[in-house]
Amino acid sequence: MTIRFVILAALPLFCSCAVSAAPPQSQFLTDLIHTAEAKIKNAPQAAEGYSDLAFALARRARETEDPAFGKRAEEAVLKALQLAPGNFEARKARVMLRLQQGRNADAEEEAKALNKQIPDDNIMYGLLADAALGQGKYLEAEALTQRMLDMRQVNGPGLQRAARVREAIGFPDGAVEFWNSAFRLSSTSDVEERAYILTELAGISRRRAQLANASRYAADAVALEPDYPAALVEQARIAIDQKKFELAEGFLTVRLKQSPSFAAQYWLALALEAAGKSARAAEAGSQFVSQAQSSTEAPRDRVELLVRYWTAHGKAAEAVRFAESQAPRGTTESYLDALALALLAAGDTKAANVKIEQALQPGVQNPAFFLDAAHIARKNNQIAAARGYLKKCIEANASSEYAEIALRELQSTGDNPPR
Amino acid sequence: MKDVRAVLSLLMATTMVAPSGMFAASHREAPITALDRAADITDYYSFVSYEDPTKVVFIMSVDPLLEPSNGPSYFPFDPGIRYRINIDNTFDAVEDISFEFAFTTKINAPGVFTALVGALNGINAPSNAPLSNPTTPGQASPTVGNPIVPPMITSLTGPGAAGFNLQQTYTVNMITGAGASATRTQLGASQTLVAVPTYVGSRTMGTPAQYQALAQSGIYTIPLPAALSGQVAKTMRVFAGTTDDPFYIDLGAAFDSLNFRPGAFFGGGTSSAGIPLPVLLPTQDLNDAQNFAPDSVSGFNVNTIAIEVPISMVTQNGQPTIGSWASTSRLRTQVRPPAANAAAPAPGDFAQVQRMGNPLINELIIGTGSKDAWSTSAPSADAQFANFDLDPLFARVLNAVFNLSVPDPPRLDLAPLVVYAPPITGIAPPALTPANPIADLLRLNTSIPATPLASRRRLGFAVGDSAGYPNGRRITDDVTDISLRAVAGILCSPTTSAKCTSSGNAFSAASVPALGDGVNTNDVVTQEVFPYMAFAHSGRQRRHVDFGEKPCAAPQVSSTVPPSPSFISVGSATCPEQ
Repeated sequence: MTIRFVILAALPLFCSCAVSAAPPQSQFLTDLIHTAEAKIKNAPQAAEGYSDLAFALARRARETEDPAFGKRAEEAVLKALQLAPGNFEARKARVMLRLQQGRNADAEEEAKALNKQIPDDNIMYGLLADAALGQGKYLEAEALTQRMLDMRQVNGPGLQRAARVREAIGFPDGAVEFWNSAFRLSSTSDVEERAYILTELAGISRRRAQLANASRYAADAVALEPDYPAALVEQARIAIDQKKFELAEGFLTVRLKQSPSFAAQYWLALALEAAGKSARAAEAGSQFVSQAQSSTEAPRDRVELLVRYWTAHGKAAEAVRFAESQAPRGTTESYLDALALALLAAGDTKAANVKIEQALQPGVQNPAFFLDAAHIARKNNQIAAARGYLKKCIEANASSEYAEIALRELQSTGDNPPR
Repeated sequence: MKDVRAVLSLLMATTMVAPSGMFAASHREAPITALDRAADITDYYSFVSYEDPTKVVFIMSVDPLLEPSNGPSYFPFDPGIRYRINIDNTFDAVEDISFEFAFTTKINAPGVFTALVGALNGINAPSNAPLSNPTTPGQASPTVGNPIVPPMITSLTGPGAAGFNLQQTYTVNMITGAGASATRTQLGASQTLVAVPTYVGSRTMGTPAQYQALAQSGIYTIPLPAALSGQVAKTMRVFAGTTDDPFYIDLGAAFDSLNFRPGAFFGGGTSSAGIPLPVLLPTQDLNDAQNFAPDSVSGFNVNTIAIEVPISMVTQNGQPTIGSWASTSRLRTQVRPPAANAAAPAPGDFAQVQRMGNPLINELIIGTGSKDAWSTSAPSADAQFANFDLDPLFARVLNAVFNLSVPDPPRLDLAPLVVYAPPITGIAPPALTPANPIADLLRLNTSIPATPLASRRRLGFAVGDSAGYPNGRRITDDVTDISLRAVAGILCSPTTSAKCTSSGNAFSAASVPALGDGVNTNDVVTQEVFPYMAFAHSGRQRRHVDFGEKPCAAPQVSSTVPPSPSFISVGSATCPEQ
């Protein structure tokens, strides 16, 4: 099994999206940065302005996906802590930055200490939940998120985390409901936040193979904030799932003109390969591997993408070694699925089975994972289990491409698919 | 294509930064109960019945500082809240028995603009009444003689209740055990339990005596099956409704950084910083019937739930000591959705908003950054707050502001407030162990009978009235003065584990002065019979006795059982109606 590159006839090369060299910068976040800078100017020896600046820059880093803002945020945190060692808000900003860097265990350790210091700080439960989610500790994340909502029911950040947890433990409809509630609670002037939530809604819809919904949400996101980097990548991924590879290439080209992104490079390589543009795909893939290996940003995604890429390109053993070396950082369901496929490609079908079952254990309802599980089970001659996974794949979303494959495979064995 | 949550960790880490409030100077939100007053437990009481030594009384009050005249909707309980009285009888700080109250609101006359209305025997439209609104132009009909204002409210149901527009009924459930294994029994299921409305005024609800009769009709006796109450079938009593708030305190002075009233009562000299010590003169301290500073709660109502149950129902294995607390909960937004076929909310579907065992713990002991966490957590998890309980900052404030010598931490002298320990418990279980964890419960030794009125003391246990706080809490106990003195070290004992030092030197409880806020009694006399609370103040005649004002008459202590109707409220009782 390799990554599913379904090659279709080349689509006309056409992309309606605007080409822009710089990522968008919303006025809301610009104002936040200016306010913090003014605070620093007025009281240069106070930590508060620097911690405010760190929060604002961290938001800008999310908006632009430009790590330079993260570095500036780090500097602001350092300055705040120089002025006021142990400052709560500065340390909270540092926790956020650690999470952005994928340093979940480090973030968790500091957040626990801060939570003990001020147990009423609601957002700290959210940061702890982020760290738990990033390490695949879903039940812990659920408890933390529940605590967050128990303390404040009308709670946008709490609902966003609850949505993530719901998806992870198998309640995608409920996750969509929470994302929508969070969107309604968000400020209309904070367009980046709203674009971010819409991008998340697009993502969860895509993972459920509801591609029309996904397209609509992603389009809404870029309507709010044109060329929003995360939305561009999401649009590309939706286009890939729709087998509109040229369109995906267009989105990713715009995205890559904004700032380097190994993730965007990965999806570009995948889109080009699927479109039959082998030479350019190899070039993009090479750039992806180079950037991902040298990047310190978002290591969890870096690991997953590298494992998937190497698995798809005949380097399954290397993918397995690398994935296993990264296991101490925590094991999310996507990581486990990627590792399972690498193990399968490397011929270790039993270990692959263990990993895919771990991936599905929290209750994930991702049709792609069920299809993977079915194929791994079949390789292990677990025919009944394979049928069961194929049925679950169809139940998760009967209109997905995975369900189509599952349906064909079930019919080929004379089995009755679920209604 | 394959799902990978690309850049997920980068994105999620900044989710929380969105609210602009994060950038405000005050980054933490206000404590929950400041925002949710209907769920705010103002006080919690537990004591052996004055009327029947085989029974124990539990009272919880919620929704603070209800101004009696605040119509037109007045003071309904919140139907979205589950109000609970929880009892631990196994020393593990986990509820073994709970009584849960849930309210339902019914609007009897949806077109009428006020919750409670009535006058005389009812008033019909007079001869000059406007015509009825015509359905056909030009064909309006006279309305003369039609009832417009219903009769005065003299009953909770049936005749005399026509003007009881916004009416609440409630259910009582007894829950045995905790968590998923708990069993639930509805008590009084065949009865209609009506919450007693506030006293709007004499036109709407008659004289104080008539209102008292109305309120007393809201005391229900519920038969209990033998399986719940012991060998023999017994009864319990229950009351829910608006009453006088019996808590008394100079709130303004206390929370103005202990800025008590100079000249009002001080008998303790001044600190080195020139701040007078809030110490009562001996004659003042012995006077449980007179105030020397304003009672900030005077003239305010509160919503009350009271039950009286057999002691045998809430104790077990012959062990007379129980720990109890009140809690309020709301339906939670659940991360894990409830089962689609769930018939009704399960206990786990509710999130605790607040709890209360000992008085003033969350107010004076728990730090502001932990108040919500404390309110929403279970008492059995109180070890996380042990540093507040056994090294209270408030003691250091007393020391700093007034130069008082206070005991050094750890304050094991305060342990009887947060663990089962002598002198409240007859049998000493192992202290500070998992079997007897630190937990804020109101502990009550039910084998100690109620103290007769004549010998009852507001300072309770500390002055030899062993049926008073901190052995349970009666509504007349002066928990402000007791708490001030307890924090200052009055519970230290040279012969027990509560031996204290101060700055490393020997410390004696005898050195603790007669600290107090100068408020020694409630503004109205409380009842000697169930539900013990004075009934509600009149909205029309309500009066708050503010600083410098004199009440229409000095508060009176009466052994009248039940109290004379003239004690129902300051306004209607001791001040002439105008």
